[in-house]
Order: sequence, then structure tokens, then C-alpha cells
Amino acid sequence: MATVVDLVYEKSPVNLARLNEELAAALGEKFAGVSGGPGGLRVHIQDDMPLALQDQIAPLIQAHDATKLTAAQQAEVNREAALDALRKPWDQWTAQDQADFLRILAEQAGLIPVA
Amino acid sequence: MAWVTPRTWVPEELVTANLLNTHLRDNLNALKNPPSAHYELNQGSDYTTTSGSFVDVDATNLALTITPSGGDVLVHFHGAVENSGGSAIYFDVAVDGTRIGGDDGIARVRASASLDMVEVSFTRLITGLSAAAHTFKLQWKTPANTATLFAGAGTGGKDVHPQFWAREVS
Repeated sequence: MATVVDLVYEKSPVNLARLNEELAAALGEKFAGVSGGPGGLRVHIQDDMPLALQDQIAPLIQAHDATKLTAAQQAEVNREAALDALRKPWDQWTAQDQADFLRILAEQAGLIPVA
Repeated sequence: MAWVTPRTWVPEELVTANLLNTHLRDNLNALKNPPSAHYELNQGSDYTTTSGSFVDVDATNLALTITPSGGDVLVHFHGAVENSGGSAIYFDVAVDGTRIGGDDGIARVRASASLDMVEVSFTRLITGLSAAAHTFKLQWKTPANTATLFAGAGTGGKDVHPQFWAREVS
């Protein structure tokens, strides 16, 4: 049974969620995740990951752009912006405002996919 | 001074200073100062992970080594965590590299970053340890999104200081 081992890298800043997506897409199921903290950036992989795959990790981290967001992060930014636009007195709400708010609530409740 | 099995005294036995020091003074000192280690987080940055498998939170600072005299050991952790997408966060403790909880560990919390951080706290009795050095490491995982353990790193409104400790109790 494979065990998870850590590979430590120096990289700052890091968008951990974005880097996780980038590494997962390239490394597949042998990739367990990434961690950040006082000890630096750690990439968690199964110890039986082929060396050819392991060799891809450092270039991917080097190319990582922390300013780029994941789809989920961008959706959250959009949701926050939509909510900010609704911060006004109730008597100023239009029918469109009400429809927009209802859509946000439905997305949060999981009733409809996030736009 | 390590604990020694107390002497069984016999009638008319000569009680010497050496015996008293060994079996009374030294054992009382051992009870007063049992093998113990602790760490309070006051770090430069918080801890984050996306790992779906259990991994060390901090293999240096949150790795406590004590040498018990072959008794039971209590381990404890408390801290504050959140997950960027509201997913669960699991915790376990590895003793000499083997997780004591197995499966999904010994503690689970669910915390959404859009709401507020939540407290995670557990105390666990570990039995059957040999009289030798043992290392206790805090581990965690999250099935989705990014988990954060706040580590006294100055994050606004979340500058809290977790603690991890291990102490022999018998």
C-alpha cells in the first residue's frame, strides 16, 4: 500500500486552491494535495508516483501564478460583487434586483448550478 | 527522574536514606514532573491544506517527543479552523508514524469560511506505549477545497493560538 510523502518547495505567494487544481490535473490520482504554512509549500504525493510525473512538479510550481483564480474562487468573487450591488434600501430594489437575489440564494442552496 | 516500581517493604527492614530517596522522593518527583511536551502556535503564517489524505500539519513544531515509563499518555489539541468551501476537516494523531484513529481519524469539524471559523478540540488517551521515546504528530485532511488552521499569525479577527500537548498520566 502506497504511503503519502511530502515534497517541500519554496514558492510565494501561492493560491493553494489554484495550485491544487493545476497539480491534480497534471499528476492524477497519485497526487494527494498541497499544504502551506510556516514550513513552506509541501506537495503530498503517493510514494509510488512515477519519477516522470514527479519531475513535472517543480516546473508546474515555478509556472504557478497566484493571481489567477479557480472557477470556484471566481464564482465567489462574482457572488460578492452581486451582493454588494444589492446593498441599498429595500424601496430601491427593482424586480431585477429581487430576481438576482433569488438566484444567488438558489445557488447557495444548491438548487441550481452556480452561474 | 523516571518512575520506578515502588519497593515492597518487609517487617523490620532497615529503611535507609538511599531507599527513601529512590522510592519516595524520586517517585514523587516523577509524579510531579511526568514526561510531557507541548507547543503553542504563534507562527508567521496560518496552515493550509488541500490534502485528501492525512498529512502532518507541521512535522517540526507539531511533533512532540516524550519518553514515558511505559504508561498511558494523554494527547490534546485545540485550535480554530475553516474550509473555503464549507467542507469537513478531519484530524488524527500519528504515534511513531502510525495514526491512532485510522479511517477518518479521531475528530471531524465542518467549517465554512463564508460563515466563521469553528473550534476543534480533542483529548485522547493512548495506552500500551512502551518505555521508550515516542513521537506524536498532529495530522489532518480535507475532502474538498482548502482547509485553514489559524496559527496566531495575525489574521484579522482570527489571530488565535492553538495548543498541542502530550503527557504521561500513569
